[in-house]
Amino acid sequence: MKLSDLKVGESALVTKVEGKGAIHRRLLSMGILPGTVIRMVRISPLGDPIAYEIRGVFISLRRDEAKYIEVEKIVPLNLVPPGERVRVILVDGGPGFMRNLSEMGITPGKMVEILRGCCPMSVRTELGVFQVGMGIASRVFVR
Amino acid sequence: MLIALAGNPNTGKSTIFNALTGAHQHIGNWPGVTVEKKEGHVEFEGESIKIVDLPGTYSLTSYSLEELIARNFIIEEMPDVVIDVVDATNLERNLYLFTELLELTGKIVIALNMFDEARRKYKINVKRMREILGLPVIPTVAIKGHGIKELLQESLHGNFAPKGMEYPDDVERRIQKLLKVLEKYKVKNPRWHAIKLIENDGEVIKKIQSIGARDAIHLAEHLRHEIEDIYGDDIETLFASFRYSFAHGLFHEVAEPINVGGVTLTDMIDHVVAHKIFGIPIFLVIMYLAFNFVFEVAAPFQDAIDLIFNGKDIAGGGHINGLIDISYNWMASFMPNWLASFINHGMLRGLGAVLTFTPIIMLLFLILSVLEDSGYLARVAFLMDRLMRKIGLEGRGIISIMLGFGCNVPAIMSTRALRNERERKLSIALNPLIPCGARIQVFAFITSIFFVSHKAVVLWSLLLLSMVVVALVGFVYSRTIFKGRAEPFVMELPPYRLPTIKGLGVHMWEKSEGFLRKAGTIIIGAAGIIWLFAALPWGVEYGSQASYIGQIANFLAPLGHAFGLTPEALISLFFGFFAKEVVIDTFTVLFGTKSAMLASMTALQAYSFLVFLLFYTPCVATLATVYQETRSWKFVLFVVLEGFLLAIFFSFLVYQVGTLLGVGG
Amino acid sequence: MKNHMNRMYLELSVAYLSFLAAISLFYGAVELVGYRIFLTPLVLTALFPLCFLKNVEKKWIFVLFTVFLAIVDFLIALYPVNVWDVMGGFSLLVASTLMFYSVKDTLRLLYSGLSFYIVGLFLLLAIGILNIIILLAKILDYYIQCIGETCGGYPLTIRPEIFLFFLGLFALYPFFHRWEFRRKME
Repeated sequence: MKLSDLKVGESALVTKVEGKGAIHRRLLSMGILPGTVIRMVRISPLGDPIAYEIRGVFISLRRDEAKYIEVEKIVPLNLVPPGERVRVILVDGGPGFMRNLSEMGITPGKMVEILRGCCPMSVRTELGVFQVGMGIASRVFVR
Repeated sequence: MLIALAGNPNTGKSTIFNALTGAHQHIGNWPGVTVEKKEGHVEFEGESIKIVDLPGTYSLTSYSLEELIARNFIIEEMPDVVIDVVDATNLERNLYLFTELLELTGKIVIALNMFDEARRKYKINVKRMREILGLPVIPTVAIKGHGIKELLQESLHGNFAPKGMEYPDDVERRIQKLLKVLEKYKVKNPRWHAIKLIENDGEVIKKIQSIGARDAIHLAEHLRHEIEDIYGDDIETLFASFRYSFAHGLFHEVAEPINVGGVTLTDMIDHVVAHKIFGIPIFLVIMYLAFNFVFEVAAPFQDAIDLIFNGKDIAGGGHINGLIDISYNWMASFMPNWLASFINHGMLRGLGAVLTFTPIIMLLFLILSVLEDSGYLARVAFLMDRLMRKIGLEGRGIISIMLGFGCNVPAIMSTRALRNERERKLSIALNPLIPCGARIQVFAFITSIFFVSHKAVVLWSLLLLSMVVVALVGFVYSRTIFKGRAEPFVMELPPYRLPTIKGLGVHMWEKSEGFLRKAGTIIIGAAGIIWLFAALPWGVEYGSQASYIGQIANFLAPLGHAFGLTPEALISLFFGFFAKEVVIDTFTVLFGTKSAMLASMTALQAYSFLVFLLFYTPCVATLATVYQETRSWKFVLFVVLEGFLLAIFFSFLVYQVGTLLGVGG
Repeated sequence: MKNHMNRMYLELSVAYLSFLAAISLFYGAVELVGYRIFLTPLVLTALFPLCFLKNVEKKWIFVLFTVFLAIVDFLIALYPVNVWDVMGGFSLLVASTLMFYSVKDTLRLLYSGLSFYIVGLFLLLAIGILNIIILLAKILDYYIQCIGETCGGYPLTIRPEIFLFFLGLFALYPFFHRWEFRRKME
């Protein structure tokens, strides 16, 4: 799907940045690259442009520009309702953070099951049942 | 020694520049373009250091003017040190530019600006960062002046042993291969050129072509395809990814986030300020408050300056002498009357006019700086972008249009916020068509005499006419004269910050000073010329039918007749060129009483006159500012012609159609 | 115990905010149309938070306080003020609407409520402080115009925005106090 098709509050993973010349380069240099997590934050009252959160920064893109960005929808772990089994797509953080999570069995490609939503959240992974803080869960993206 | 300041927009780069140079700075344009260039001097430890502020950019590609200026400066002028101003609250994105700078020069000092704010977001290990990069890294808080001295110290004595950023082996190997070929041609900074050639950078390819290195270009093309095949993506995406993964790695190596998640104040404010329903009403209220503030607060200062220069007539009779009277009386005692009158009634009055402008200009700039520094300006652009795009501008264009209702001078100066040269010129060309406060004053004066019962209707019809014309002209221009390739509008919405008094003061002074110095001299000169027309031949009454200006008006009278303009109206329009509010004075002087005014023109003629006044040439101060911003007399001429054509067209239309319909007899 | 106290302060702050919103609404309307007659009942909107009584813990204290503030509003509204300023009135109306809009969500401890609380209040305070500066400028201008002439003291009329500013200062209280707000889950 295209980035412009996201709804308010939804997150997505960038898969391809298309376009040519200035617009292509500008998107790239703002950090919109394949593998980047991007969240749709809000729409301007007139319907365009749209504000997105990328790498902790709010950036406004026009619809025409957002169309160049191919994404796939993902959900942060903390918004997954209890009882669902989901696949981890991406863990957004530094090496230490990734290490801590992999000790719980949360690494890209693995399945996790949400046992309880809040608070704290508890999940079952291949390595057992663990409790995950909301702040941490919001940086784990699943589908 | 030469230091260049580089960095992303909104990182506090100009605050650092101000803190480094203090008052010793010079603001101009980069040669041939409207991009602002700031230079400054500082003496530090006996060394004389020249500091150049490069345009704020996100990267160093060849796609935008700012980026080209920044990188060409570093390549050609070879600054001894580049200070990379990094927004520490947003390290990852800011380090991307750093990776590009690192390929240009090894002498980089990193200023981690807004360090205090960043510390609430992450724990930043500055020492570790220094080790990894092999470059000086200084935490700074520019608005408080922290870390500024250290920046200079490190620039002078710092240890530069850059580790550089590594590309994946199969890419690095290919860069080395191209490097060998390029080294034959003795280009400066061959590694950078090699990388850019592989990256398919248009400007670099042109440059390498011009030195005849065909083989390098062919090889680069070949290598590019190889890399694209290996990684399965286009070369631009790939290189951006390499750099970002370096920035990402570095960021996570040195910064440890605290307090992840949670709602920030910025989030909360945006929730309301960019709200579906409330967003636009809030914007209107803020604009109204800002304008009301500017005009009400400027009034006492303007009156005081006016009083000092022109003195005043006391209601019960008698006159208080102003500076002009005093100086005239003194000069007339030892020089010919005409010369004393020229100096005082011409030039000195011009100076007075410039000075009465300044309170409004300073306050408008104050408001503009508050909006900008607080971060609200970016939200305005976010709110208004769709509307403004119709007339070929981005969202921020609305600011110069709104300021235009106050005064066209700061409005035109505020177009600097537009990052695109084409849009800047377009909004400069549109601005004079917006009735400024002075014109609205004249409208109010004339309508209160000629249209007593329909005052509001007439006023609003004029404002509406100007809005329609601005929209139409913008629509047409953006598709004809100011057509250009569509620039991406990728804008950052920075977090809200409380503006600091010091920051505001510096902004306000910087801009007002520019107006006073440059535009001021032009205005005083023009005031002198206008005096010559109005007071010569010597002996006639100032501005009367017998003066040159009166003679010209009489000469033009048959022509003016087609628009319903009387000779008196023509004279007052001539004076209005000097400053629009002078039209009121001229009317008062020429007619004396209200009934005389009423007798001189029909209502239709008065309306046609107002329409003419709405569009015809902007005042001298505005023209001086247009010149100052564009450095092109051709552009100034364009603005004048545009105004006259619109004025002639619309007042002709109004008068002829009105006469046909028999309105206002 | 401490939690209960916090909760009560929050509820009272909301009541106070709607008191402010109601009086701003009244003056906004007055400035918009230019006269005061028939508009006084608008201050009864101060009772608006009573619609959300189910989200309130200390119901009786809340009701009493809200009603008391509505009466105060009514008394304030009796004082004659005659200003006709369309845009000024519009500004007050916008600030007032924002504050009213915040009531429901703030009582439910949602962030979106606090957002409107902050921005609405801030707007009201900004309107107030600008009007104070403008008043000072007008006085200064009056005396500059007077130089060389004999004229009396400045005919002082206080615009309602100015005392709304001082009333608004009290509503800043919650910012010296912190509550746990939760993010609205979409």
